[in-house]
This record gives sequence, structure tokens and C-alpha cells, in this order.
Amino acid sequence: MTKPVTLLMDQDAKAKWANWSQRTLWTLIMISGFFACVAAGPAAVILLVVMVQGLVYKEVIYLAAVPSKEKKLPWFRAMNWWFLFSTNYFFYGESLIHYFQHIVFVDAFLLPFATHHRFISFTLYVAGFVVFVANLKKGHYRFQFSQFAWTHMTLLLVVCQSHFIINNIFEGLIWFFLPVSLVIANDIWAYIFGFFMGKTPLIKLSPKKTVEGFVGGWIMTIVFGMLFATLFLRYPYMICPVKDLRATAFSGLTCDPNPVFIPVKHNLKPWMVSLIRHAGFRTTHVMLAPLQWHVIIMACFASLIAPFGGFFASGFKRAFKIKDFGQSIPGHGGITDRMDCQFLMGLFSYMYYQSFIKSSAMTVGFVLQAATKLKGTEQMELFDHMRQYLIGQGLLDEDSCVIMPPKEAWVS
Amino acid sequence: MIGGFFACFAAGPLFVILLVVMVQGLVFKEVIFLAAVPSKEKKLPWFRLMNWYFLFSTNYFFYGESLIHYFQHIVFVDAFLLPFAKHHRFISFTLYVIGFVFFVANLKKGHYRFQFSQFAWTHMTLLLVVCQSHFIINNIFEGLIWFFLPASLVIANDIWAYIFGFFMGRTPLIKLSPKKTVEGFVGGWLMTIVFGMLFATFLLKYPYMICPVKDLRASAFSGLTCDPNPVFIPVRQNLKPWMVSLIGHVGFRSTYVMIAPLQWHVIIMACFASLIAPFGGFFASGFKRAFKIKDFGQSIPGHGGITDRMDCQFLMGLFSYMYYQSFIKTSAVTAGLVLSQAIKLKGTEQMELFDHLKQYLIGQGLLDEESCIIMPPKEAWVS
Repeated sequence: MTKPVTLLMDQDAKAKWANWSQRTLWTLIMISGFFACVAAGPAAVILLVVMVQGLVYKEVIYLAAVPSKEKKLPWFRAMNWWFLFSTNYFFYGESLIHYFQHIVFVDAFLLPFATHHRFISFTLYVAGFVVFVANLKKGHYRFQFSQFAWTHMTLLLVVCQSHFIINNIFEGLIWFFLPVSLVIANDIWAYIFGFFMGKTPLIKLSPKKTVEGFVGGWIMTIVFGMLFATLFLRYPYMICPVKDLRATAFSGLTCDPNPVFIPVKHNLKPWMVSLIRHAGFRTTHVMLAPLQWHVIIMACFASLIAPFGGFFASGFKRAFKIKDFGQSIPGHGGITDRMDCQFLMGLFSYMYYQSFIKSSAMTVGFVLQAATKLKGTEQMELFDHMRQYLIGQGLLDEDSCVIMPPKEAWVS
Repeated sequence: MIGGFFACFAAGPLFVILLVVMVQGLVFKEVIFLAAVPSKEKKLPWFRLMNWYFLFSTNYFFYGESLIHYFQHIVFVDAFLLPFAKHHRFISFTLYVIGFVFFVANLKKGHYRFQFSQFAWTHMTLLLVVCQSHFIINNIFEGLIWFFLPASLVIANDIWAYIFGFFMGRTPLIKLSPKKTVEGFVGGWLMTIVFGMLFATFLLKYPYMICPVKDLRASAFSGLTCDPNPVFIPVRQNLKPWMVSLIGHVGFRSTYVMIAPLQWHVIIMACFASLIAPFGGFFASGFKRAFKIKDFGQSIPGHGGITDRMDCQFLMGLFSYMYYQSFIKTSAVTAGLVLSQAIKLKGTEQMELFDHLKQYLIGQGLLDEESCIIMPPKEAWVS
């Protein structure tokens, strides 16, 4: 590419502002639609994710389509959709089974589908695989294998990650709403900073992005994140695990809040106290929920790492000489162009949540399932290992097998 | 090859796992090498390293998952290993993201198409090779027979199909593999079922084969001990009268046979090995034609590369895992899992658990709905 790139800031004012108004209009439309879905309830949010995922899949698969070749391969389109269907069946089944164990393992009709879910999904996939191999046609091998790889890569990047996003929703709407908002906020703030102050190009792959935009977006996303988190952690509708798919923002959800949402008193250091006093406030402590510390890390990922999903997509477009993934959204390109950072963020949110935030609320169903299968000898084995664990944690006295007085570990 | 295979088996589960890891690494190398274009790679200094890094981080994730799952009673108890176990997925994810960021940062103008194609190739290979090896390793932990039997079925099918094709092969089977014949295919199928049933009958007597691997240092000589899974226990099957008289004519007086459930399962596994697993081989053949490759490698004289021998094994291993998990597995390994979960429950959750358990038992007909009394024991409780 030898054409010199004009940064946003340097563009002719008229063109710049015309582009701005179209982009802003659609940004507002998308954001409102997003808020509306979240208010409509977890079922609506899940449908939104499924829809977006289907559209992205369609956009990406369409890029590799070569209609003339496909005409000679009658099952081609059907196979693509079959792989999408069977992959979705597997992933959504996994989520539903995991989060609604207390329903699926109890209902006599659903039970075999739940017990043998992985085998059924595997069979569906193998059926597709066998049809693919049986349909290999001389003279088209290379095309068919390339398409096979393309389909699988897309499924991996799109469906797999949507699965994690859906799981986040089940843990509590905030675990979807917050990460998504952080990415959107970073996009917007980076654009604003780039618009007004952008001078130094950031990376060759995305020539319109600037260091000023990147850094400004990063800092403002942290600020935005902390404010946003503070606002939403008050609402049970946001922070409660989704036990009932029919809930909405108006009917609400109820639960014991995860400790990460509970504000904890933090005593301010003396120098902070006097500093604040100069500004006119008299206070010796602040109430901060652990979430607000977590959101700093999440905002950093959203600003520093998630954009690499966007750079990946840009590089991909250059590699295969594509301008945009689609034209669905005026001024913004296709759905994929908007979602490319979201997938990485969703995956990160899931991993981070599972590792550092999740408490045991979801394992009741699992313990139920396991408990119904244990035999006598296994129960004794369980007891023995439990004893080892408690000794290792210092909660059980090794010699006398007596439980020590309760410590924080028991209370938490 | 068969000699080496048997020797690894006798040496112990640890050696079998190492064998799988080694084969997997070799297949990965062979397949990646196919797409290598040395002239382009010289300009991309990190290229080779990145491939190996993705292999490493994917293996770290999958092997970690297996080790954590099967050795929960060790990793969740040891103070040093505990954080690695608790945060395993996050650590694996971080390792992968580092590779991903590095890949994007190294995208070089004029090489984009090559780099992205390589990225896709690497991921497809990881998916097909590493992912499936993971399931094979899990099979090993459930009991050596769950690796030995499926692998043997594929080998037996190969051999019998070759023999039948050699002596009777006339009708071509599929354009992709012109040397394969329908006679070979069908003959192989029937003989694999026979072989499978005989082999299974032989293997199920040995605790070394059928016991879950709790100790990696075991070998064929030291053995393993366990309560056998019911699938290995011969059950008396009374013969139908016409069968009794038929056998009587041949000279045997018998009114029943002892057949273990495994012998029924092995028929299904043999069918998959003969009818479906070969599609893994056809896939590899089609692939070679598509990209104009003669063989995946030259490691094995007369047989081509390692990949040429392993292409059906991956699909079979995956099937064995899925079939086992769905239809054969009992709850023997969940004691450790229940342990790790039970520690975390609070009072209110325990009450919720009790309530759901009650619903479940009522649904199963084991608990009387109105009086909340447990019904007299049935088979369900005993099994």
C-alpha cells in the first residue's frame, strides 16, 4: 500500500465531520439496541449473541465463497450450515446442561440427552465429517480442503468464543455487560482522542490508529470502568446468576451477592485524608468493592490486548484483499468489524472470572449429580482425601483427627 | 512397529503416554513441514518458534487438564501445585494470548497471506492432532485397555483388509484410495469383529489392563489393583433351547455362556474401527491429493510417514473416549471431584442441594413423594 494515509485529525474538516455524524448515529443506534436487549432479559441477550454469531459466521464464510466452484458441489452450503449447527448444538448444550443441571438431570425426557450429550454431539460431527469425505470430488480437492479449514477456523474463533460469552451471561449479566461496555468505551474514547489529538501512528496494520488515541482510550476506559462498575453492582438484576431465563430488568433477579460485589471499608492513608480535606471533604475511609479492582485489570485488557483482535482482523483483510467484512452497518462496515475485539474480551472475561472471581454457587447442581452415583467404598476414599486436604490446610489436627477452631477459611 | 507397541505397553502407562506424546509431536512436525516454504520463512525469524510455542501452550493446556482431572487427590492437596491447578485454564489462556499477540505484532507487509495461511494450518493441525491425543491420554487413565483395544482394532482392520484385498480384492471401494477394495473392506470388517471379541475376552482378565491408572509408575510386572468396572465382569447368559441343542450336536453340553458386557461393546467399537475410522484415512488421502503430496514423511520404510499410519487412530481414539464416557464409565473418578466441590459449599447451598436431590429421587421413583421416605432398594441403588 503506497497511498499515504491521512490520520483522522489531519483530514479535511468537512469530510471528517461528515464521516463522524454517520458513525455516531449508528454507534448510538447500536448502543441503544444493546441496552434494550440487556433490559429485556437474559433470554434476549442470549438470542442477541446467537444472532451476532450467526451473522459473523455468514459474513466470514461468504468471504471465501467462490460461487462457480460451489455450483459443482451440491452439498457445499448445506455442509457449512451443518457444521455450524452441530458445533452450536454441542456448545449451547454444554452451557444449558451445566447451568440448569437441576432441571435437565431431573426431567426424565431430557436426562438421556444430557447424559449422552457429548456422544450425540460427536456423532453429529462425525456424520458431517463422513459426508465431507464422501463428497470429495476430483479436481476440487484443494478447494474443498481449504474450505474445510476455513469453516473450522471460523467455528473455532466465532462459535467457541460465543459459548464463553453465553456462560458469562449465566454467571450474571454484569459479566457480559461490563466487558462489552469496556470494549465499546475504549473504541469510542480512542476515536475521540485520535480525532482531536492523534499524531503518532500506532501500528502499520491499522494506519488510522494513533498512540495518543490508544493511551487516551486506555486511561479513560479505566475511569469509565470503575464508574460503570460502581453503578451496576447495586442491581441484583445485573449481579445475580441467571436461574430463570424469563427474568427482565423489571421483574429482576434475587440472590446472595458474590463477595466481589460487596463494598468493603478501606481506611485511607493519612496523607490521602489530609489531601481530601483540603478539597473540602471530611472522610477517613472509602467503601470499595473488590469488583472495582478487578475492573481495572479488565479495562487494561480491553484497551491493551483486546485491540489485537482488531489488528488480527485488519491483517486478515489485507492478506486476502478485503475492504470490510460486510456492509450491514453504515460507516462501520460489517458486524464482524465491530465484533472482532469482543470475542477476545469475552474469552478473557470468562477465564478471569472462572479463575479469580467465581464462588461455588454453581456447584450445588454438580455435587448433586455426583453424589447420586457414589458407592460406599468411594465415600470412604472421599473421606480419606478430605482428611488429607484439611490437614494440609491446617484445619485438621493430624494426630487426633479433630477439626481446629474455625478460621476465615471456613467463613469465606 | 507392533513389537514396539507391545513393549511400550508392558513397560507401563507412563511409557504409553510418552509414546502418544512422541507420536503426536512427530505428526505435528510432519504436517507443519508440508506447508513450510523455507524462502519465505527466512524473512520471518520467529516463524518456526511460534509454531512450536503454539504446540507447547496447547499441550500445556490439554495435558494439564488430564493430570488435574485424574490426579485431583494430589494436585488439590499439594500446596505448591494447588495454584497451578486452580488457575490452570487462565494460565493456559494467557500463554495462548501471548502467542496470539506475538503473531499479530509480527505480521509483515507482503507476507500477510502466507502468515495467515500458516496460522490456520497450525491451528487445524493442533485441533486434529493435539486435541485428539488428549482424548487418547484420557482413555489411558481410565484403563490401559481403553487405549490398547481401540488401537488394536484399527491395526487389525488394516491387516485383515489388506489380506482380504490381497487374495480376493476386485471391486474398487473409493476413488480417493484406489488400492482399497470392497472385498477387503467387508472382510476386514467381519474379521475385526471376531478379533475384537477374542482379544477383549483375553484382555479383560488382567487387572493391569482394566484398572484405572492411579499410579504412573506401574508396569506389566508390578500390576495395578482395583474393583473392576461392571463392564468387565462376565455375566451368565442362558442360551436359548435351539442354541443348546445345536451345541449339543457338536459335542458340548452347555446351557449358558459367560459373557461380559465389554464383548457387546467391542462389537460396536469394531464396527466403528472398520466402517468409520477409515474415513480418517480417506481424509488424509484426499488431503495428499489436494496438495500434491506423495506421503506425509519417510520415517517408516514401506509405510510412509508416521501420519500415514496414525490417520485412522485419531478418529478411533476420539470415538473410544466419547463412547466410554457416555456408556461405560462409572463414577469411580468423581470421588475426588466431589471432594473439591464439597469443600466450598455453604449452609444455604447445602439446603438447596438437599431439595434438588429430593426432586431427583422422586423423579426416579426411589423416594415417596408424600411421605418423603426412601423406597426399598432396587437395582438402581445397588448398581
